[in-house]
Amino acid sequence: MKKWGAMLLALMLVVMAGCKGQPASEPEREPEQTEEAVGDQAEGEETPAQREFDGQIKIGLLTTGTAIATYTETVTYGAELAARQLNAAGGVLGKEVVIVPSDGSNTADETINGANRLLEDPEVAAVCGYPLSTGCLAIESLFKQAEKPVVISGTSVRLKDETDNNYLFRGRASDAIQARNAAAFLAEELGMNEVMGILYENNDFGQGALQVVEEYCKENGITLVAEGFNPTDTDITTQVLKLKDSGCQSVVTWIAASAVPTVSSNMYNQGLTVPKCGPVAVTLEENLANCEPEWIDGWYGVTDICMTKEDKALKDFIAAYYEAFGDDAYLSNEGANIYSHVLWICDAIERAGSTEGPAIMEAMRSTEKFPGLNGNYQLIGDKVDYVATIDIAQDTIVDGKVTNVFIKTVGEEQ
Amino acid sequence: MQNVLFQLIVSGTAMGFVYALVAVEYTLIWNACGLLNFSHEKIIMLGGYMFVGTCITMFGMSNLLSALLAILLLGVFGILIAVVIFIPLRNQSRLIAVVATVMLGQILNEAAVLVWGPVALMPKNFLSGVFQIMGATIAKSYVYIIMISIFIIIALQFVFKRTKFGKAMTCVSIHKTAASLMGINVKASMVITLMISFMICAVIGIITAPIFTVKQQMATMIALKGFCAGVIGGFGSLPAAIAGGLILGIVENLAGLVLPAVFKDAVAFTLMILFMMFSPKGLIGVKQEMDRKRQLRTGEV
Amino acid sequence: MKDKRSILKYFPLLMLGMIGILPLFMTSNYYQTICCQAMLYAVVALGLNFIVGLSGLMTLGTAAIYGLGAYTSALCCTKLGMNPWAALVPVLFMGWLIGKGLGYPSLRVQGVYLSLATIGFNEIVRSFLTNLEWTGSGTGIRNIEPYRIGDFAFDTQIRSYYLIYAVLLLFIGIAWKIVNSRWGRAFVAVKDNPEALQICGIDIANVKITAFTLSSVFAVVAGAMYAHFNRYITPATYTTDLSISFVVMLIIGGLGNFWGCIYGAYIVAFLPQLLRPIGLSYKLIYALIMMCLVVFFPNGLIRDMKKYLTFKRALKGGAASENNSQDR
Repeated sequence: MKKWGAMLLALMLVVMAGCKGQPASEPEREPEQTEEAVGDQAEGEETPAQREFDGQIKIGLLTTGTAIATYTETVTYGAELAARQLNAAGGVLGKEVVIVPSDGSNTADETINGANRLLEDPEVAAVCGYPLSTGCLAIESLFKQAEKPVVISGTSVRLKDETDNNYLFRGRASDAIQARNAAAFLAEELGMNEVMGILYENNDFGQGALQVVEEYCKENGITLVAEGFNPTDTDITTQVLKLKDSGCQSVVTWIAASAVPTVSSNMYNQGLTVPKCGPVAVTLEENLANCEPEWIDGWYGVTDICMTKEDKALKDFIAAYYEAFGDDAYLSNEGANIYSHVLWICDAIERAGSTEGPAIMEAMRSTEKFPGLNGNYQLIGDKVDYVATIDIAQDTIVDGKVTNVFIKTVGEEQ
Repeated sequence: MQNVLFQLIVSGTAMGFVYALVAVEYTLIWNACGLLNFSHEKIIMLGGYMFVGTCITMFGMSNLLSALLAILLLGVFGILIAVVIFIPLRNQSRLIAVVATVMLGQILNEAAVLVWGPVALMPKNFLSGVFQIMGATIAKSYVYIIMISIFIIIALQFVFKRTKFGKAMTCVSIHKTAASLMGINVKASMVITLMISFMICAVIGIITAPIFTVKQQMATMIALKGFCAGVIGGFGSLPAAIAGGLILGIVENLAGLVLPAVFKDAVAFTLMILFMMFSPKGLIGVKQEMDRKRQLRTGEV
Repeated sequence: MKDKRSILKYFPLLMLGMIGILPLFMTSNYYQTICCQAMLYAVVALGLNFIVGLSGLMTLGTAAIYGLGAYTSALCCTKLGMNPWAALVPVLFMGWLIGKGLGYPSLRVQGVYLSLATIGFNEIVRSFLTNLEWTGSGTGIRNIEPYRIGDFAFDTQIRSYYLIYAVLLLFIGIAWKIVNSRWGRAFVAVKDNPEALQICGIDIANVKITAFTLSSVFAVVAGAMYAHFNRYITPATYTTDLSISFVVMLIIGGLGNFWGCIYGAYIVAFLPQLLRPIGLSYKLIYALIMMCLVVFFPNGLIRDMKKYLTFKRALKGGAASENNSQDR
């Protein structure tokens, strides 16, 4: 009885994961399908192109697995799209670009294992991905040791201040730029320069921003009221009321995507109506869909790329993304970032003319204005940071639905 | 300031009822099997996903129908889990059953991403909006939570006190061997309890869906705080669970005024540990102690 | 029959020898790092064995102890500039302190309550580590220096491997001594027959507190080793999930089975890595396998396997088993 039951359960779960799990594991399945589709149209051109490849260039992709499944899905698709486009154009150095995904989960131990697993393969030329600063801090020395470049997406300022690693690249604006510009936008653009509030998520992400905003406020003589909440909190009335009570004129809300409905509904219900500016999370389509329109109407957000921006490269990317992976595919700015990172790495490999780590590193360091979707890539200072621009967008109700509207791009270009 | 205080008490009460409902749900299993269901956080999540992901999105049913079907499905799932995990492991060390339920939770957690996709879900037009009570705001869904909690607890109280079946379950919780000697089918009572408990989990998942949104971590904290509420109230008693939940909800909210709000969770767990140390039977223990003292005093007089 | 027994007797030594020469076959950083993690887990599991395996108390706060060990050592080295070896003194003191601190509640709190209290302890510790500025907040502590002897630094994977291996052997030695001493028998008696223990004039409270102290000393030392091996620690590592993994190691090895702790730790560390090629669903498969192991082999993988095998043999031919018994 007991064994039959257990087997039944196991079978049920496997079947459940097997048949419905396909959308999530699509990156593996989809390429063949689309290649077939492409092959039908242009068989004559495709086959010789594939024969031309002599060998592969592997690019590692460190994801967060099922721990942060949205990130995993969008970066897998983004990297895959970049690889396909490169291969369709004849590959890099005549070789085929292959993406090798690896799960870094959300704890430092797992990230180290995931990164080591990529480094174990001598054919992996470079690695990109991973959004959590803690994980990035844990793995950066591994790449220095292995002499392979890594393009991370963690935004903590500690990644620049406390590392001495030429193989470490950050292909997006750091907290120092993102959070600072969020605060600066509220203080300077909207003129709320007396009392500022910050509501931050209590982890490396939120605390990183807190540090930056604290510095900004000190420099500009603004009083800062800081309130934190834990990522698993389900009710933040206390924090919102404390902020409201402090009489702050504007609030920087540094929260992760999953907290947006909780935070926005609490703020709306408690009548905290001052201007608010948040990180990427408050500009993501699927978050907006999970909120009542009036909760988030008027929020500003800083993001690497505002997806509604009038930009030809971005529009082409989005169209190609949905065409390749279907309209249900999840797309966020992270996917666009990784797409740019893969192109950047391949550009450097082409310039270096080799797949050796040190050569790629030198080529990447000497990048001059490589046009990525999230800005132009060029070394800032002497290490780590390569992108200095971000977009500011505002959530606005259009026809009863919230969309985010591009306002402007800020940050200094080199 | 008074307004703030009142608002905090109101929202603390609302959260308190959520904790209380969680406490009730696992107290039931505790009574019937002497085990804690450490996967209940994921069962609540599963309830939410079944409701929004499967019934509403996939089958395209109406909200009410979806809720009913989700509760029913979870009930069936509860029977299955009882047969697979709880009954075979009832005579093993409790630790093994605890770990088995934790593993069940992990399985559900991973399966949820693969089955329902990575993006958080939200039911449309379901219990949305707010009420104003004397200047304090409270989300409509909380009002429903309070009403449903009270209804469930009264109904359970009725079942346990008035029906033959309920009395049998109470009997099992007090002494398993004696119960089986009296001709009560212990296994059947475990199955039914698990079914009811899972159905309550589904209810929690459904009514909190509009506030927490349906995602992997939607119930992580309320599940742990539910344990706290149970300990503070005193294990095993249903009304005590409500008292424990309310105390916890209000105290942690008010503590946020004095301490940095990020230590809210630490406050809740410290409260639980203090209760365990000084009054292991929770509020019930305190009440019994007071009764005993009063009796002693009146006896002396 | 006799031969088989003697092989089984040497199984632990064989296992330790194999761990010793493993780096010769697993030359990549990847596998050596996992081996180091597994050995550290094994040290923690050996300590946990005193509480959970032998005394039968359910504690789920081990990750917090492991983390406190790591943080104590890391803070002493980075903030006070202490030598990592010297930092072991405050670490051991920390272990002693936690052991006493957790041991006393365990006298008042029984069964599942104890698991809840220790989960609470775990969450409180994590909450403080995440929020205090001097513990590096959410991003933790970096640039922790490795252990050194003279000019020889244990900074590469292979060097750390053998350092941790030495520590593992040391702690196996200590644990073996304790398990087979008066104390070890007292721990088992706490689980099996507390009344008899009292009649023998042994103080149960004392035994329980000793179990907790020993266990937390093992955990903090492993934690300190981890901090200096990884050279970077964050509070996000020390979750209740990790605490539960430690208990899972014990269960897979068999509760109270001394050598089971070690292979249990290796299974928990290696299995998910081996399943990685499956893709996104590998964690689901891992959890499924673990649940099946727990449900079907509640007394430990090897112990239950042996039981099933003898059961099968008995079924196959009653005559054969009779012959065996006659031989003896």
